[in-house]
Amino acid sequence: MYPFPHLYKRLDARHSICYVWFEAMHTRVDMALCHLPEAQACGLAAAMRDEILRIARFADRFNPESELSRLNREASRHEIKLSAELHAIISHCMDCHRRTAGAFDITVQSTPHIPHTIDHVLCNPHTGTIRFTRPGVTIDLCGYIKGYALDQVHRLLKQSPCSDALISLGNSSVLACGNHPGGQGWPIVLPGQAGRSVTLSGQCLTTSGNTEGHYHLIDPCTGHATSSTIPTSVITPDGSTGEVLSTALAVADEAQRQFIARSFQGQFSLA
Amino acid sequence: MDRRDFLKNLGAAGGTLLLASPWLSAFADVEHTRHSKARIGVVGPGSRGRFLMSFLKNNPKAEVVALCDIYRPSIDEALKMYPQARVYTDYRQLLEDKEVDAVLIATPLDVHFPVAMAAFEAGKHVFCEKTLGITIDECYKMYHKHLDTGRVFFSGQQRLFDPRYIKVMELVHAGTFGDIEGIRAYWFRNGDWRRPVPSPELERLINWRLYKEHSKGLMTELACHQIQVGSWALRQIPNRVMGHGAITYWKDGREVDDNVSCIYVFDNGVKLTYESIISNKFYGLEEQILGHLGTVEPEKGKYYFETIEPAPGFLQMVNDIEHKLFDAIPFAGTSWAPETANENHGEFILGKRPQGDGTSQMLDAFVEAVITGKQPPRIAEEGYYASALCLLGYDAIEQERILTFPDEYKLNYLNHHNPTTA
Ligand SMILES: NC(=O)c1ccc[n+]([C@@H]2O[C@H](COP(=O)([O-])OP(=O)(O)OC[C@H]3O[C@@H](n4cnc5c(N)ncnc54)[C@H](O)[C@@H]3O)[C@@H](O)[C@H]2O)c1
Repeated sequence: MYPFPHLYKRLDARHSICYVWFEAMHTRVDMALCHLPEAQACGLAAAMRDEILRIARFADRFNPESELSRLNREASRHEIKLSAELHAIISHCMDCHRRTAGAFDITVQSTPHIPHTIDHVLCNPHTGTIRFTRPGVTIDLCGYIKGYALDQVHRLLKQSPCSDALISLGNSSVLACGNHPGGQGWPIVLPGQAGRSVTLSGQCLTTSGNTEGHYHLIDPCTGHATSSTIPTSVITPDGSTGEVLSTALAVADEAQRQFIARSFQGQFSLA
Repeated sequence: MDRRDFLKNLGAAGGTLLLASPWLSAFADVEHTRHSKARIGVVGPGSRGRFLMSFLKNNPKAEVVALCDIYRPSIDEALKMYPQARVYTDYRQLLEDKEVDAVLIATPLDVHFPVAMAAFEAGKHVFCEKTLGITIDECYKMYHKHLDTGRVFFSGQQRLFDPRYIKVMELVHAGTFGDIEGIRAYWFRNGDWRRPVPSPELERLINWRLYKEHSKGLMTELACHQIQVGSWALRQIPNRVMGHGAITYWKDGREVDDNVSCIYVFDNGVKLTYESIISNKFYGLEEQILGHLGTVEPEKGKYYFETIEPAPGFLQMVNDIEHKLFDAIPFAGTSWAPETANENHGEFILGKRPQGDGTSQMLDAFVEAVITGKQPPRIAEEGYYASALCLLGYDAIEQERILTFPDEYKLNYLNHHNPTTA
């Protein structure tokens, strides 16, 4: 028996769609995998689910057992040796902090968060270790790992016989591959844009923004939650860049926007 | 869903539909039979008989050519629909009518057996309302008479043709709701189940349901439809049954129970519970199919999942793809708020509120089978077991004993084997 609910619709002898959904990373995951036999589609979905759960296990700051939680608890007292994967993720995020003129910041959840808190994170590429030079620093990868997970899932998809798929992590990170069974690409209505839609193929759509009554986006310059509820959506070739840019652009001021446009030139478009 | 849509949908997903519901192959020759007609004689055109006739009236391939009833008002009402039909008062005369290809039996339960047996003997195809016979032995003999004569045999189990149920079984068999762990079937009504009687000597003819010589009460009249849903979902015949019945409210001289409950046990320990009370109608009727991943309520036409519901945007897309629409997929918001997902409203199986109950499709299938002379697979067997199981439940109630399905009444079907007929 399959480990998750799914709906399998056969369209004709060669065409089908398998819709799979489940919870992971504190959100819902929805996948539409086209034109595979049911068992194969469910097998692929199970492999992708396992991959998402694997990432969630080490990079979830809400799970006290995770590698990230241990880092947040102990790195202000001593240097922590990390798995190569988590080290690479954090290093990349810090690089993105520079490339977004500070608008993308994985330390906004620190107490207190003051400008340049991120400078208290010392990443040593040679030893694979990280140390915090101040207590209270907290690294939060919540949004970013959704994009990262989408990229890992994309890798699995490319190795599989499935070329037409739509995968959504929490509705905010969406990967569209190949085509919708009814036409070219995958047409998607943009969140909060009055029914305007885009057609994606081999791309990710990432959206950041507060939902009404739930202000979670923090401006790294002020340390306060932003109150705008207008979502920012970006289209990128990969999910990680999508997360970085949608988050950064949602809080960026005009100067930061121009900086981001230059440093990520050719790597994204605003949806 | 009209007949054309039903057939079209059938074509679109034929392969899997036929796996779950192989009798739908009755529609395989719809084009070839376009100019043919099935000539049908109705025995017992009472309330159900005339309801069935109203569907035949809509099918250009069907013609009711003869009517037989022992109660003149039933004949008079039926003639309003088919004024040209020949009228008989004895079913044996109707069976001698060479212009009748098939009979539709809608008499009280105790009259099904003699009419059906004689009809097969006379070379007629038979549509017999449920429950087939008033004892398992009668049902078994009717089934074998059908095999021996090679005539088409349908019973009035319309759920077998209800697009909703067909879809449900396709999903259930595909494992969508996980392992099926239980079936809870019930039918609750609040009423005395009586019909007005113009003159006292007609009591038993009109209120035949209430007397044991004519009917087995709630088990044969209601449970028969619903127990079949369990074996259809599980693709197994339950082998044990226990139960209890009583007259708890309508103590008005009736003989059959107004309050029954049975437990059917499948070989793997999964149970189908059946309950019918006719002095409280709050829960209505349902056959809840309980899987470890989700639940189906086919009467309501809805399904539910145990953990999280499917996303409306994706569901819409998948349904549209099935119906060949190409539209942008809406994503609800930037982040999913789990608080709002607690109320589990379920989703409609066919994407909309249920319409119809399969009766019209069932009769269309019968008409096709009469014209081609081909018995669709499994339909007689499903009818037989629906009848035999409700009667076994009745026997368990009457005897207050746990009963096992008798070997001598097994067919070679699903988990059942009968060495004497193999
Ligand atoms: N499939 C369903 O959902 C469904 C629904 C209702 C009834 N039914 C079945 O239909 C059958 C009839 O039920 P009903 O509600 O129409 O009953 P009814 O009493 O309205 O009709 C029965 C008819 O049979 C006639 N009849 C009785 N004995 C006869 C005989 N010896 N020869 C010829 N005619 C005779 C009666 O005069 C009456 O006209 C029953 O078996 C019942 O279980 C099935």
